[in-house]
Amino acid sequence: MPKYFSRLLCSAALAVSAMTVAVPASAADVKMVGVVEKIQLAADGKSAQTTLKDIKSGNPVVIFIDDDETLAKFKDKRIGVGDEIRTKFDDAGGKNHSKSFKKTAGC
Amino acid sequence: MGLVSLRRSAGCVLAGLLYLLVGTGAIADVKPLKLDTTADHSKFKELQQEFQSGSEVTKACLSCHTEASKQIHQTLHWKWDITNPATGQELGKRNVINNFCTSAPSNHKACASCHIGYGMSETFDFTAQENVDCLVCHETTGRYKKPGGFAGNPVVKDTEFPPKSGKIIKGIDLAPIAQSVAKTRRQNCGTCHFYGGGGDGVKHGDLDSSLDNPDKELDVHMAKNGLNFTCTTCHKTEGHQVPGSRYETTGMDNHAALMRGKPDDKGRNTATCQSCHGQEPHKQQAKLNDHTDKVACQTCHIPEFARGDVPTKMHWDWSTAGKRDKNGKPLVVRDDEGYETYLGIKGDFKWETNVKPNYIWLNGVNKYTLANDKIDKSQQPIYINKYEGSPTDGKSLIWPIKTFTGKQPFDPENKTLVVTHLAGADDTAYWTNLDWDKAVAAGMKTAGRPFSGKIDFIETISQWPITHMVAPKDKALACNECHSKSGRLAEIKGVYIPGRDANDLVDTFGWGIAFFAFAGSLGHGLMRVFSRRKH
Repeated sequence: MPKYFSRLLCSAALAVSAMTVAVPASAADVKMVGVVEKIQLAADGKSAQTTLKDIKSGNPVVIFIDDDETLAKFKDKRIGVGDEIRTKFDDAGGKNHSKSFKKTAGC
Repeated sequence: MGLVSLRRSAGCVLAGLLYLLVGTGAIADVKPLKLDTTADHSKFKELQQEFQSGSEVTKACLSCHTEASKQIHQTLHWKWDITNPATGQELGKRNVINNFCTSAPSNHKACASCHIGYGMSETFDFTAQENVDCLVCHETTGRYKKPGGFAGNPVVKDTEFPPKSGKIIKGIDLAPIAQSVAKTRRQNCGTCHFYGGGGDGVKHGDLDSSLDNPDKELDVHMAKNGLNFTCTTCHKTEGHQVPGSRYETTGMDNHAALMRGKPDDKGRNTATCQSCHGQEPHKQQAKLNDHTDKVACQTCHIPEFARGDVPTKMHWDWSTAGKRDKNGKPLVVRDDEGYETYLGIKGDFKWETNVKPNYIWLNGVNKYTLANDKIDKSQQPIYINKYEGSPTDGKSLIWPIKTFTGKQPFDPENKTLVVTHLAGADDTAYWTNLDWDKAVAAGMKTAGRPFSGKIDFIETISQWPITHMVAPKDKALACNECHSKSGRLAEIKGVYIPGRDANDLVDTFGWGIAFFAFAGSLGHGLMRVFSRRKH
């Protein structure tokens, strides 16, 4: 019987530890449409932080960007404050690392 | 020993000279050698000036590339007009009516953002060489834009648009853009072709901005970490003619792989799979080559379209357009991912990703319902275009297509599709006033077509061949996707597909033989057991 209980406790401990590990690993891609409120380019120009106002919730969301294509659009004002953006970002660690950042505009 | 010290001394002197050169800046400005071109256009004096319009840039281009505009003038990209040799129909954007934004005529100021010319209008001069837009296909900065509303012209000075709206379109400096020109990149083609139908991925389903930088899973040919094809690797131009238009689709290419310089290959469509892969593309599983006389490569190798996380429109209902929100502005409704499912100016939409295609016999002949063709609501849905094909014409293969459905305005009295004036700041544009009567009357007047004054809506279908987003071979369709009774090719007629097809008579006969064999064996066995007991 004690053997049975020790096995049960071990299984429970393993399950809890697996779930604990799984929480940060389950950080997923988040898709969002929002309007650019602020763009802050890093001094070295190799990254930027933008604040988008989520059109669904109205909340501001800060997104970290380091891809050259989007940075170039910030630098020559092809994307600016007021533009509506469709973005996909990885929210792992709360960094909101952008994977896609494009204007929604069409005709 | 003396020789070694001499070499060392010479090395030190060279290193010192190099240091001096770098230190004084003598070689500090040396740009890396460009290996993909023999001309650095930023060094050309003709391009080192301030340009006030796109046409001024073109004039500078033509001072060296003397024949370029004349070549462009012969192309579908320029003319937006082509006669289908099989049907005699006048096609191209100047002639067809589709079930997306319906028609380019009467909307040129907006639609001409995707014309390779400057100043497109109903009275556009198609013979003017300076009207050709070289930059849209050749600039490499990504900064060149032709905003809607400017008839295909770039905006060079900050401009309030629409007038009195308070919205400013930033002007662009054309000089560095002109100096950047080079061979066409996929982004140049994508500027228009990824955004057909009014937005990213809207129209084609197999063309969207995910092809800007695809991985191998999305497209084995264009993957940056793979073959890294540009569009023109397959759509290889000759005299600016781009092969591979859907207006003259190659349904079946039964030639061997193209060979450069071979006289018989002159004029062939270079954009077919066979132009590179030939007729026996499967080397390891040769049995698969038995399919190539009936099945297009795309059928197995493009299992779904819109796979790049960009949805494509599958349905558009114009009949519900016109609703406004509580502020009197056209209503906007979005789905969970922010895609518009209803717009007051456009109606209802359905979007989908990872779409399984429909399959048809396709021989390349693309028959359209044009503005003067009679249509009847009792026969809806009406095919905006329909590919012809049959299992017996010797010219057809089984192709994957996107089937796009819609509901759009038509003239119930004259029984024709209508040209709608959608875009513009004037009072008749639908996107300004949400008034169908005015919009259709203005559109038909501009197009010079009769209009009864009555409007109804009719269900329509358009067909789009699927040919991009080729998946890796291990992601191609498995056999049972088609070789089963309810498989993907369940509706395809005229071909025997093992696993799908069955003949009732043969099946009954076969099962009958099996039954009698079993019954005979059983009877025989029983009789032996019975007779043994007796003796």
